[in-house]
Amino acid sequence: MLTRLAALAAAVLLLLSPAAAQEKIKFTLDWKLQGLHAWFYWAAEKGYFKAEGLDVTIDQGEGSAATVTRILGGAYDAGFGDMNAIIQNAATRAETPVMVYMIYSKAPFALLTKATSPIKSIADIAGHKLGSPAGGAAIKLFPLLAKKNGLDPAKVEIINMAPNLQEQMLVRGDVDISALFSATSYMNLIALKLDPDKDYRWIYYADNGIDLYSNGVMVSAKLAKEKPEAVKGLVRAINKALKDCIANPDAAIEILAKQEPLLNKEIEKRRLIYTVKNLIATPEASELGVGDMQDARMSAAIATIAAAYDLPKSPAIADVFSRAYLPPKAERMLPATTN
Amino acid sequence: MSSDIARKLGSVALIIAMFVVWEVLCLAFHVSDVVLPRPSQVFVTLIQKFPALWPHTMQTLYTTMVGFVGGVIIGIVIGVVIGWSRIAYDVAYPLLVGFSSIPKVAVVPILVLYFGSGTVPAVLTALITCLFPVVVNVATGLATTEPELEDVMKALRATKFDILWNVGLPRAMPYFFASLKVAITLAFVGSVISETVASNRGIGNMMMIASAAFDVPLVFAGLFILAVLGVLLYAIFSLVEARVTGWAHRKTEFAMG
Repeated sequence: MLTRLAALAAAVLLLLSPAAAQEKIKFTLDWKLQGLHAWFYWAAEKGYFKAEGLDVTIDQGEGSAATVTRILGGAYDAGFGDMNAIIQNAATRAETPVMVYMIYSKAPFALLTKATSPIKSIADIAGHKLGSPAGGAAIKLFPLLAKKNGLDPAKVEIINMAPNLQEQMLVRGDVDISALFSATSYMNLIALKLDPDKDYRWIYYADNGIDLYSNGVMVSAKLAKEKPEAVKGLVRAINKALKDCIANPDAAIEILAKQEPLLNKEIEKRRLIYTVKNLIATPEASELGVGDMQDARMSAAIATIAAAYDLPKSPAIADVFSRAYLPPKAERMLPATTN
Repeated sequence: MSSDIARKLGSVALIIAMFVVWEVLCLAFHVSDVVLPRPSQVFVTLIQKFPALWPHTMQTLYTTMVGFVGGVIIGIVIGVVIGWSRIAYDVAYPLLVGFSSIPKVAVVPILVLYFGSGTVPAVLTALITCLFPVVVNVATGLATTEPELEDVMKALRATKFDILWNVGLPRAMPYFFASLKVAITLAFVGSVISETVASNRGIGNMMMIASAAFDVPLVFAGLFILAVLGVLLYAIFSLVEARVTGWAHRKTEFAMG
């Protein structure tokens, strides 16, 4: 009886061992499936995660800041989310997620208004209606942007709406100007059959004194501490997939379409290319390689966030970002974007 | 009987008339499909993309049904407890009303923090959304048992449990089955709300993706599926209600089942 039990136990162990060798990682995106998520699915589909000994489950998200809370809550080990939300959390909490691979080295925050609008600079917004989703990063940073540009934020009427209504309400004239993410809205305007360059005026936060980092791959403090090899593998796989997707945007969208056949391939491909051109393949990325960041810029960004949110302390760079998990720089040089 | 058929034809005619008017108005005023697609466009989308829509539909149906079954079971238990005991009623009711007043869309992100996104929050949202009507109806049904019947039972030395089992619960049945019709539609709303916030599959998720790409006909196709499923589930449970508790209704309604 005992030997039989032992044999059974051995058999069970044998069955379990290949599964145990695969490190399970629950990964959350920043939003619903879009073209700019292609590399994560590429890495899963092409077996890059498996090659690193990882079993990665990808779930869709509900906002780039929510990625941080999802990881903090323990339901997820890693995700694609906002650097600035990490900074905010790190000021009040220990054990915050750590950014290990910076993907958008430029923050996409922008103000959008119609080309016919009298608003030409930030100071002109006084007395107008500004629309943004409640709690969105673009609106949280707005008071600081206003102050830096000589505008009293109290003189602006702020109207909240769901993120997916921002462009419509601007088009309909319910708001005069919207605080939003350029990458998302640019494509949404195209989908609305409008011309985002000719018919609209963009005022970028980055050009007006708010220069921040944005989304990247973050992991939980626990994973970073206990399984550094898994984190390195995760970054390596995503880095490889990112380069492949940039080189083959059509194939990248095909992989996404396999995931969700109802995606509009044309729009998602343009969204992917726009994001790569404007947020990923920045001069900084070609100098440092994608994934890394400049300490001086990051310190300034942390100071900006600390001021915008009245943080009790400014976290150190080491609390929020680590380059210890990055592959060598030569592997992080981006290929040229096709079309 | 003939008036019954006429009524059913009437409701079908009303639905068709609504679509015709919608189509004609859209054509007449040249409404862009980004604003309001014509029903014919929606039907074409529905048919063309049906294979891709099917997994979403099944996911929504699955989370709805699991949440509904869970909600009904828990609802019966809570309903019986607070309907049968005056103290439990007084003590627990304010808490229940408080819970049911919370907008469920605010609960979903919290559930995601515990369980991750996907099926579990959708099931739980459906469950808590459909719980309240079941609790209230079962409790009301029990609380309104005629005191005379209880007295007779007591005179026959029935225990409290005997009274509950033989008088209270059968009397509460019409209330309970009426609540199922409400609960199933609410469960549906609950799981779709959860899907729009956090999930990888389901009609709610599909509608979010479609609206991000401004594929409005596809969004409407999602709404159509939801409406059809809602009507179907409602019809199933009214049928069940009529079969099981027809005795408690007036004759004409009984005949409808």
